[in-house]
Amino acid sequence: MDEEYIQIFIDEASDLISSLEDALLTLEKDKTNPEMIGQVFRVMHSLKGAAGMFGFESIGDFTHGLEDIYDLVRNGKISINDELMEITLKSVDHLRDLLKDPEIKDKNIGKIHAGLIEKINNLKDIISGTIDSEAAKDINKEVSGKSDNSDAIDKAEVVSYYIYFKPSRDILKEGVNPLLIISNLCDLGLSKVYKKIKWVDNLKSFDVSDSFIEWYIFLVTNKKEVEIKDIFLYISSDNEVEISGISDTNIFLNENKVRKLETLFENKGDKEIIAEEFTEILKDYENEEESEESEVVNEKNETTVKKEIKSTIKVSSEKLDELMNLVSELVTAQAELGVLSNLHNIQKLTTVAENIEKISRSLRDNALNICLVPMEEMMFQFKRLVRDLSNELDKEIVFETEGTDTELDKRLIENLKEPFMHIFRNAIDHGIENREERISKGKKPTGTIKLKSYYSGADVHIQIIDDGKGMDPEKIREKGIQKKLIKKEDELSKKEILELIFQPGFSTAEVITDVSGRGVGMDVVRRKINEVNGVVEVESEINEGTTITIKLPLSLSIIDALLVKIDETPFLIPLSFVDKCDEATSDQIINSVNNRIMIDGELIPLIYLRREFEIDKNCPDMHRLIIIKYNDIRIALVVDSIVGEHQAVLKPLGDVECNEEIITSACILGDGSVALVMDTNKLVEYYRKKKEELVNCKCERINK
Amino acid sequence: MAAEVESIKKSYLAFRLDEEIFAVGVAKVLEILEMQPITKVPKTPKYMRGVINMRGDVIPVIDARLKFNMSVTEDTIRTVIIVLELEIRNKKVILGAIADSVKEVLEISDDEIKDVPEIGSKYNTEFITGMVKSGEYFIMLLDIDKVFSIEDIISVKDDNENVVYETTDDDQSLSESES
Repeated sequence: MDEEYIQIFIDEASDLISSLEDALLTLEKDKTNPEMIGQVFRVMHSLKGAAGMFGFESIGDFTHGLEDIYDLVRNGKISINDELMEITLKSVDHLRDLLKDPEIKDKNIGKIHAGLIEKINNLKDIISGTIDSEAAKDINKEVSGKSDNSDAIDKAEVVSYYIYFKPSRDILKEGVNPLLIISNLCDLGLSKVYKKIKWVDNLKSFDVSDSFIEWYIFLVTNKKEVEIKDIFLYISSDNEVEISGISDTNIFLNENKVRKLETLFENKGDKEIIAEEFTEILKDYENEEESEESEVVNEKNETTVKKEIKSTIKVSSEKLDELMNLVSELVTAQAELGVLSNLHNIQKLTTVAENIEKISRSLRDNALNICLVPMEEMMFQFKRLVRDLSNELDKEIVFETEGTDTELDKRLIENLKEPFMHIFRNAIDHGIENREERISKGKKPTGTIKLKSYYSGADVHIQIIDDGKGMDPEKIREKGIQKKLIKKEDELSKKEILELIFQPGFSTAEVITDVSGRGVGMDVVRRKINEVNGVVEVESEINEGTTITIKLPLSLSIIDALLVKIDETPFLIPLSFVDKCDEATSDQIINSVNNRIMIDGELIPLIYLRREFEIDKNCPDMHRLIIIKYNDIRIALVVDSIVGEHQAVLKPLGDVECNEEIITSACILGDGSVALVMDTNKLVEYYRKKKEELVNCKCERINK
Repeated sequence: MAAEVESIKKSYLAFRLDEEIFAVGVAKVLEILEMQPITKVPKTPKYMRGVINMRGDVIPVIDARLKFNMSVTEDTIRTVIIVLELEIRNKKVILGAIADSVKEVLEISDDEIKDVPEIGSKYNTEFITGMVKSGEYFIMLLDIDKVFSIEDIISVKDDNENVVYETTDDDQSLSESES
């Protein structure tokens, strides 16, 4: 079978498995939630069907067993208990493994596979034992299942659909069995299926493995349209599928109509003609209906419109990357055009250039937006982690989320999984105390871990808050001395002490557990977050808990920035950090007391970039001040001149060594020259560190 | 047979730095660019001239004269940027090196290459794989990966940091008042 289709299946299946896990976790809290039970069953069913269709038999068989159990749950014959939950969740993990290794080549996976199947079978046996007395009744039901089914449909609210399905010629070569699809459709309710075979015009080119059949299906069901669509989920888009709701009642009740349809399909061969006559028949039908119960129908129509689900498509991330690259190139080209139009001052050209700037700006925003996904997508993994670990460590923990609709760049989310897992593990293992300890401290017996995310300017802040025992600065200090990270006589603020946990090789856990404490902890977290231009901060109060805050940029590739110049070198300062612009004379700056300057009646520190960057040519008389925000502090950066706003397409700086990471990336300007993008946070930190060192240096000299 | 073995020749690009001629294997050379405006990156070693735009990619440019401890001269019309693809610690690195001029591409067979005399060489012999006599000149063949290896860059970085301290003396007095 084609690699492409297998890949589609694997993608879909991973999504299904994830949604299964999510549903199970919700179900665990509310074990009788019928909606969730239905959801679990449906996902299992789809997974089984898809796996069978694509030849992943191990997955199909495995899911089949589970599905049987949940079918019983769904019918209210058994209720969910912890044991079942445990097995199901383990099975979810196993399904993921199976997806990677469908032939069970790995012996370990094989062992787990056999073990789980045995457990599932045992469970089934037990269940069938307990409901033995009801079994007789059940069998009767099973036998008369079909009539029951139709009865139910008659009574319930049903909708009639018309489905046109014309498989692509290659459907059989793709390894899909169209009959299976048809039979899945028929399972949904009452149906009439008509087929047409289109004969080949040229027998020479006839290939037996081509498909020439098209189907017309009338389906009366109480299922939603989405569920019908789900059946067609795994076939490629070359196949023609049309699904349209034709009536809000059961069309098969009207015998006249059915007969008309039958004759229609028996005689005519062409799709167009059928469709034409068909709509006419339908019109008649609708008219009749309207006269009967026009008001009711109208109401129903309204509700169905509201229920319409936003249509979405799946796009591979490669395509998105390609789109982003093109947008980046467009933005660069647009900057070039801007420079040209300024140079020549032709009015028409200027208008065009301005227009293109506007369009490219909104195109950029749109393209960036496409790459954003809500944080929600990664939540289920954390829910699972919290559940598993708290069970393992015998702690009672509630996981709360807030603001998970905050959106982040997809690539960012992928990079965040690992550090987040680390933080969660730490919070559960070291942070939250066990029940007895919590009670003795007078806290709530159940611990809470909260994930909170929100926008702050052009950044996204994510906080992981636990109400555990917090970190003891004294212990960390001792550990720091022991690990030779600090000296005994060093005086550190609390914040500085807490910062020590981000040092490589630092781990305060006294016992190395399976969960955490291997000494590769927070330093990895910090490194990973720094890789995506993020910042990690920690706050902690003893016995109140720990809060880890991660600040991330919204986007990785294009930012709005202010273009400034120092001598001839162009620099870009991210606009999100800029508070306001001002100016000052050289005298004011060079003779400033304690490197501070009065802005809006407030003395704020200034960083004289000419001095910091060791540029001393062509010093102008008038300087520009860019006032930036660093956390809550305002700091003035002194530059020579401001050129204007610029959409900066960030490029890696190549392998430029040792610039203290103040310059993080570069951007190509409209005239082809390279501008340097400043990381203002790092600049301020660097400046601070340097000053501290200098002060220490001076002190030592005085002491001598 | 012997003649055939002899005829296996490798191509080298020869370039001039000050009065000396060096050569690198052409396999390492991506292209040769004319001199163009270079954006200086602050807080980098002296030999780092800055970065340039090579068809949309930003690449660092290194002054080869400074790398070999030669004196700085003004750029001339013949000054070029040789864009090299190097392998430093198993990582592909693209960078530009400024040379006074390029001379020619030479075909050199292995047995023409002579060992470097240990004594009396101005340069660290580690970087030079051999010497070739061409007319009245001696051409030094460079192991370009080693020339730009990380360790070497670090040693130069330390020198540079000392310079930073000297120039920030006035800053010191300012922070003193703060303390």
